Amino acid sequence: MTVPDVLDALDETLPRPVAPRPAAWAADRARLLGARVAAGARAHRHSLVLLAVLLGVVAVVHGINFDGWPGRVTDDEGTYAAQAYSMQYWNRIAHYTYWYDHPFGGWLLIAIYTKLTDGFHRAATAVTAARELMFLLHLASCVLLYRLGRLLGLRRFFAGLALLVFSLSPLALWYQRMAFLDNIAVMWLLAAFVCAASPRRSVAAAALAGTFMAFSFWSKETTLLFLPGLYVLLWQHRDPRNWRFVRRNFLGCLIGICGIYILYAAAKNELFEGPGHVSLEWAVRWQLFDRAPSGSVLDTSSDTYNVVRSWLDLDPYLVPAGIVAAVPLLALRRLRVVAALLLLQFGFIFRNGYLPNPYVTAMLPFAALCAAGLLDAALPRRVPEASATAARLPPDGRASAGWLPVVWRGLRRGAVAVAVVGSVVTLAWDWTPKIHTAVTVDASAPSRDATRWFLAHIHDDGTVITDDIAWTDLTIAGRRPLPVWFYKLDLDPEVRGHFPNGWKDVDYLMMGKPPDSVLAEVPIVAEALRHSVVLKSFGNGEIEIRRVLPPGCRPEIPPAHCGP
Amino acid sequence: MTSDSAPSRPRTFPSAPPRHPPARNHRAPRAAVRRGRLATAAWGIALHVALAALFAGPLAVEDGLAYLVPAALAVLAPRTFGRAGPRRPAAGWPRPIDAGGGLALVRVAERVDHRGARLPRIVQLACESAGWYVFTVAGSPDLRVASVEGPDLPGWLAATLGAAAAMAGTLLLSRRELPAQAARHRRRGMSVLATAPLAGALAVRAAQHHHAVLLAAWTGVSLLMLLVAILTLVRGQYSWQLPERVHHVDLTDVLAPRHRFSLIVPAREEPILGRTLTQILAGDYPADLLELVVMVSHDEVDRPTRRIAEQIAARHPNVRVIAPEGSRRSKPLSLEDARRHCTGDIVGIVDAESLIAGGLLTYVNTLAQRQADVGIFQGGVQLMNVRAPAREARQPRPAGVGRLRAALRRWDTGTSWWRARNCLEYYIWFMSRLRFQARARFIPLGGNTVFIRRSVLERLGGWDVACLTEDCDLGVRASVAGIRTTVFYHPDLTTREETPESLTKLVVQRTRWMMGFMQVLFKGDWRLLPGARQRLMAAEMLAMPFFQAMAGLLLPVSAVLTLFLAAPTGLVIVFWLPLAASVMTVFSEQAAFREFADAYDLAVGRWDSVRLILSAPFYQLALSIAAVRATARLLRGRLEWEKTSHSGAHHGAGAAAGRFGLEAAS
Repeated sequence: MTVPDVLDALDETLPRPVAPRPAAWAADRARLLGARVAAGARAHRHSLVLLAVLLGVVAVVHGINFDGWPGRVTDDEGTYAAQAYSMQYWNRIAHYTYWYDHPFGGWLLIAIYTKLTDGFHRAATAVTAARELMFLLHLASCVLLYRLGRLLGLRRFFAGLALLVFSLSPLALWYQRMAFLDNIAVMWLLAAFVCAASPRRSVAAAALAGTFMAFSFWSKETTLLFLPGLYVLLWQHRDPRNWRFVRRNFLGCLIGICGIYILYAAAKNELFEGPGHVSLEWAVRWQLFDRAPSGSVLDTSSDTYNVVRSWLDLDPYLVPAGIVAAVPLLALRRLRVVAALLLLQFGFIFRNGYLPNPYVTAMLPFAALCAAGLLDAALPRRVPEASATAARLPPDGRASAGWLPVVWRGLRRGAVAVAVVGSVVTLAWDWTPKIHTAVTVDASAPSRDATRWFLAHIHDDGTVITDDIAWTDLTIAGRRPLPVWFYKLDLDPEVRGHFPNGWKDVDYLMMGKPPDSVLAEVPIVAEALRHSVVLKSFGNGEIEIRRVLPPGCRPEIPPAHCGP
Repeated sequence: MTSDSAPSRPRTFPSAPPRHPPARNHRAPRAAVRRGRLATAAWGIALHVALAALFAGPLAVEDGLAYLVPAALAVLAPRTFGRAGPRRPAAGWPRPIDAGGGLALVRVAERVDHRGARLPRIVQLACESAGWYVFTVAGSPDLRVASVEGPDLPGWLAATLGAAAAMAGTLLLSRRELPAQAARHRRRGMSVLATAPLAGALAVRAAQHHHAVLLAAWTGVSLLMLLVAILTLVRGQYSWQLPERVHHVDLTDVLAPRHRFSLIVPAREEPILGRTLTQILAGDYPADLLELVVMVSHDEVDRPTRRIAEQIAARHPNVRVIAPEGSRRSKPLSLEDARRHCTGDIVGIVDAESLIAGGLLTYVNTLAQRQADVGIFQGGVQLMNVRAPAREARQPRPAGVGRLRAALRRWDTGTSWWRARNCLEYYIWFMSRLRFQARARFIPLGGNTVFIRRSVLERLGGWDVACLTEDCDLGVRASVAGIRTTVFYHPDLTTREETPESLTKLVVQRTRWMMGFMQVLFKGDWRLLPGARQRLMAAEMLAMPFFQAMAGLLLPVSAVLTLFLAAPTGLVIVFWLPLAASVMTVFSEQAAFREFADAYDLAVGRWDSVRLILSAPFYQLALSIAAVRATARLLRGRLEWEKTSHSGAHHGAGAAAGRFGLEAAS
């Protein structure tokens, strides 16, 4: 077949189609969409400008040195990074047996991010990659918080104020920079609230609210605490004409997507307890009832007290101010849900159950909204021109006798001005040094150095027991045999099977010294620690690389030649 | 007054429909046309290679199979892949308006439509197979399924060669027009032969990996069913999506009567015909602007009905009774006969057993004046009896009938669960689904309470007398012609009907509808819809019987696969997702049921709601049975008319007596 043949075949007379060409249709649609976007942007131009400015500030403060401060203070960050790693590279939900500690949507999102950006091989450490995602989520949360504030009737100034305190509080810098599931859950939660307060009152918005709430559950199950509040918010913003459908679609999407978690457990036959496998039932019971409580917040020696103390050390203003503001706001319909949810969280601290460290993360947006909301409620609104004239000249023609309202308005204005100025000064005084620390101090260096040192100096195939932060970095660097997470050595029967001689099968340890309460749970690791010598210590013992010496072995003999 | 059809260029009726422009016949810019065509071909090849690379690379499909994915897509969408060849002017297209009705008939068998002729799919498949042979032979060893000698080229080059070969094949073949039937058959035969090796190779591979193939196939089916379920769910809630969309009928907006109505009342063995006619005549629309065309049969069976009609016609000058002769009668035939007798400018269809609302004609008259660019007005039809007739009204057990049979019959006719579902189905369909379809510009019309401008009816060439669901067919053709439809639903304007007498009859009725839908599907008028989205929607809607049949299979097969085949957990979840969507549908239908009860002041309680939920799987089963039955009957070619009969429960208790024996008719 020659080219002219093809060309002849191509060249024929054509009937014209009846309908417009698809290309023209697509162009029309694109133009329509563009016009709609432009109209939306024009309608919200003030908010967009304000958001652009605020987000710039927030991005600078949160973005600079996000990996350095806070340091690697908790193993949880490493655990989530490791689980995301195993999802991305091993197609498994966790690097060890998944035991339904949390639903896996949170680290699924991390895995999606690292897959799209090749995060684990690009970023300095695995946790850095996860923290990058936290930074992006924080920006999204800021936008959502502003939008929620606007939907709840806050003026732009106060919505922007809420955004700023939500983001610049040292608590926020500390917790929202870290790779915690709570940050992911809070972002979805805010999205759900924004959808629930949608002014269009459409069924789709309600379905989205349910979906986002379900995503929030999938990220961290504890956010179900907010479900009643979300439902009340949806109810407050209902329209009687389609409320029946709104309600059912909200609940349907929520239950349906959350139900997949149960379906997952059922499909793996791990729904109920049984011999030889983990189960959802056991995990739920453990989380709710069997987990050791961390004591009362009023008991100064308890863990709960110490956690709350650490929060207040970071920022003694935002959360208490929010809680104080929430009490009067209960009387204001539009902010009642937000206030009630903050007080509910506050009340839960006194439950004397187990109080996780990042618990405060979910309080921050509500505290910011309450604090800014109270100021917004206190500041009298400027009355529109027409009705102002009507108010000044009542129908009977008498001049308004109300000097009292004028004074009252003036008082309120003055109070708000004093509060705003006072809080700006106070917060600037208290927060600036902390923010300065946050953007300059590199507290993660010991962890990074330790990994680098280990990889540079230890080349034999000895077994290394690590914490989860080092686990992922060593695994990514190609350490074989794979490192072992110290928790699993004692608690996962499958892992323990590889250590028939107990601590004597361990060659290296790479971790900070765990507190005694943890060591009591992991006897083999404790034993190995006792029989080890420090090879190199980083950050004043924050992380140590140790060599385990079975009887008859010296540090200079490689592990392969040691032992019986 | 709000309308469901978005305002656009005003078009007025009656006027001559827009003439299709003459076929483009310019020879002048030959080089430009060539360049354009060459670009299309190059684009097609590039798309094919890119997709193959995508599937082979990131999606990790085996190399030899990755090539076949775009090849299969090219068979389905030849134009997108540049394989459609030149657009030969279709013989006899566009049809002249006076030659039997515009868009009424299209020769689908020869794949001719307004976009020109195209090759039969099997020939296209043969060309793609040929391309795949080229690809396999030219490619490196790991591309080859069997061990053959070849030049060992890299994958992308081999794919380019293969796609180019397939394209050359289609273009050459589509250049030749085969006038003779025998030649066409011969070409088909050759095509089958050419496809056979590929099919064989694929079959062998499938047999080798039957476990994976089975899982993949069922995953595909599950995802498709999930999509259909979600679409059904969303479209069923269209009217409630936004609060301001709910109340769309403004009864206070009334214009003076201007349009002249011709109402066709097809009747067959309807003892309640008299009541229906009296009710229409007693309406508030002036008698001189109203004409009733009652269609009865000429035969002996219909004598009582005919007598009723003639009695009324004697008293009212604007009632005409037409009783055409002929042995085989059907509703579309009656409608076609009646159409020639209609003189009004709006033709309406009213079933003989339905109750017309008082203000309906006035409202349609107003609507027709307000919306000059709308050709068809579809009113709501609502089944009203959510519960079975009370126990006293039931038939006593006839002598000689066994206890078991009596119980079965009581279960068949005396139960309420399916009646409530049936009523709800109508409510959702007319209140929401049809409004969505009207806005989406593809609507299968209802067969009752539908008002069509006579000019539109003439332009469409009337009803298709060979079709079982002539109403659906008319709607499809109207959508093809770009005629707008307005759907309105208001409790005060709905035509009230009753459910079939028994579950068996419901299944019979559904069988007929589904056969009708399949008929319309295979007739293929919907292929002419202007928008790709419309065509997709049409295919999905008209293929609904198949999805219904599949829905019956879904649950047991998924259960078997979950329990007995070691499927990965992710896939197991996918298998159960369509069920979750169905549960969600049932859940949200509760809202519609409450709305329905409120709109008509029905006293329904919690038990009705619970029963509605519990009955969902069984109702679905009944629909699946009807779908399977319809498919089987269509295959056997039994397109006879299955008429559903009615007992008149909503006309009061008296009419119910003496109607029981008639069910033997179906």
